[in-house]
Amino acid sequence: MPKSEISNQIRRLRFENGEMTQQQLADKAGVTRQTIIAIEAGKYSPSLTLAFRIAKAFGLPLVEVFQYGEKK
Amino acid sequence: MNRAQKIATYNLIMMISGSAVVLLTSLMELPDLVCVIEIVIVFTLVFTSPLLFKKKQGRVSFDERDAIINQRAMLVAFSAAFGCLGGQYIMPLIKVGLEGSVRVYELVAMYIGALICFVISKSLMVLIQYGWGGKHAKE
Repeated sequence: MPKSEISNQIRRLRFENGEMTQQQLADKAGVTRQTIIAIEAGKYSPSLTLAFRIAKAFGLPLVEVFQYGEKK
Repeated sequence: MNRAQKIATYNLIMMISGSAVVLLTSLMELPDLVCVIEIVIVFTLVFTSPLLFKKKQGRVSFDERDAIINQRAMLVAFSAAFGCLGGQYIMPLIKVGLEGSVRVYELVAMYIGALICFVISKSLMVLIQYGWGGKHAKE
């Protein structure tokens, strides 16, 4: 079975949005900064709700923030 | 370190040092009541630890990732405690045989042993999952 991998553009989007800090994004998404760090580093895959909240914080659709790929 | 890590570290230190003190006391020829009081103090300190580390006002201190970490830690802790309890219940069978008997206080000691196992394994699991306070665990 191929391994699924969720990648994200959070780091790039933060810098494109006026160098938004991890804490500012965390506050907007309603999570801790640790969670943003873990998501950015690809160590934690957020729930669908949180993924939508993060995308909303950037004012973008979900697919522009998170991408799904399959790893063999 | 976040609040959960602080609580886990505190609980781990308290439980290990407290157990060592209780063990040392039990080896000395002191009344059993001393050990009982020590155990009560240690468990009171451990179970009231969330009161020592207060939540930061105005900021999210617990989210879905923390909930998952806590859930996994609880699962491992309950499994460890169950295994510990099972192991302890089998020990008298090996030691005193099928017809043997154990004193009632030993049953209480077994339960306390399982509780110690629970607290230690939960604290360890929380710390491991957050990465031992490493790069990804900084607040």
